[in-house]
Amino acid sequence: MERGAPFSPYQLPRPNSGLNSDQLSNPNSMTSSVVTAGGTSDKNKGVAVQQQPCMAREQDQYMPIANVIRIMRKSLPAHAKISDDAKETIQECVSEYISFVTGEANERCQREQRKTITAEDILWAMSKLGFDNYVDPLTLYINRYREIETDRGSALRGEPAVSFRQTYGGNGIGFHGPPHSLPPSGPYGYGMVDPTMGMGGGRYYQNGSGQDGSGSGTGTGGSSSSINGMSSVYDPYVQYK
Amino acid sequence: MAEDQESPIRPEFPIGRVKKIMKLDQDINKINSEALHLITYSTELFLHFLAEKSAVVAVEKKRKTVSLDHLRTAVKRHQPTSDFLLDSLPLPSQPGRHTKTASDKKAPPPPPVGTRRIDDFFQ
Repeated sequence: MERGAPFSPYQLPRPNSGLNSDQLSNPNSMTSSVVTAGGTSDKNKGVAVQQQPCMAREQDQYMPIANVIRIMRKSLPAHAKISDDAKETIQECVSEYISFVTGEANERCQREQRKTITAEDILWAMSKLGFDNYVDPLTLYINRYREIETDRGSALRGEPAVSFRQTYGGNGIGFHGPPHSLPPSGPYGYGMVDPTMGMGGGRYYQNGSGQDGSGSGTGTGGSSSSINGMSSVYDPYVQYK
Repeated sequence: MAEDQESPIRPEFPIGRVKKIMKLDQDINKINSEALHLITYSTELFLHFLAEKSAVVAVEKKRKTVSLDHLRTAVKRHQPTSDFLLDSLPLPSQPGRHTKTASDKKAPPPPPVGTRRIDDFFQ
């Protein structure tokens, strides 16, 4: 609302929200409402109308700053602060990164005359661009993701599913799950359960009341989280012999 | 079940937004769902990396607040990141996107088009 008062893009959509009740169902209503308001409102003449559409596109092309800040705080010391310009710049950096990697992956796709960017393209692009230290955790991630996806089908049949967190060796980068270091030993095939892990990282200890064989949902059925019975943890292996 | 409090793989970032950003490039056609998840997760890794390195620089300079300069130094120190990111960082003298309020405090906003100084009335 350019009336000589300073405004920030975050405030911008709210005064106009009353004009755009039909846009509220859109989860990204912030952007669409701003664009509409710029066109329909007679109050916002002159400079304001030209600026609003630009602001809308700006917001759309960045990750939400709340998410950015939340993730950053996990890597920063507890008492650390982040200056506002750093926050915004990091927001832009994140979008740059996405575009950059996607562009490389897309080039490879086009060279091989494919139309869909796949996980392999992304991994290749990462390695080419010099982010090969990400390739290992990403490979683990995508393998678990694929297992989870197949597990969704098998979980309906009551088979124990591999819990994602078990085999993800915490490499210090800090996945959003409870990060922990696992000895990457043993064959982590489908259904193998690391004896030191329960169903899910830190919540392992909450299920001390052994829920053997419950196997509900995607739970690691036979591999109960009972701490008291370490010897019983190897039971799930029996099923796969 | 306790382990279902959060699904095993739940990205911290909104996947829809990631997809939008990818699609800003007109050349991008289709993206596999796996690829989308990978990019989202790798972006988290990148962000962690940026935050950690910037914090290291801030600590070196004995500051508690991570500033843009710290970020810039951190970016410079990592060659791959520097290659694509350094040019995108705003110059020290350039205001950021949202520093409109900050700059307004330093200098009055330009007068709207068509206004005249009040002195003009007295000439």
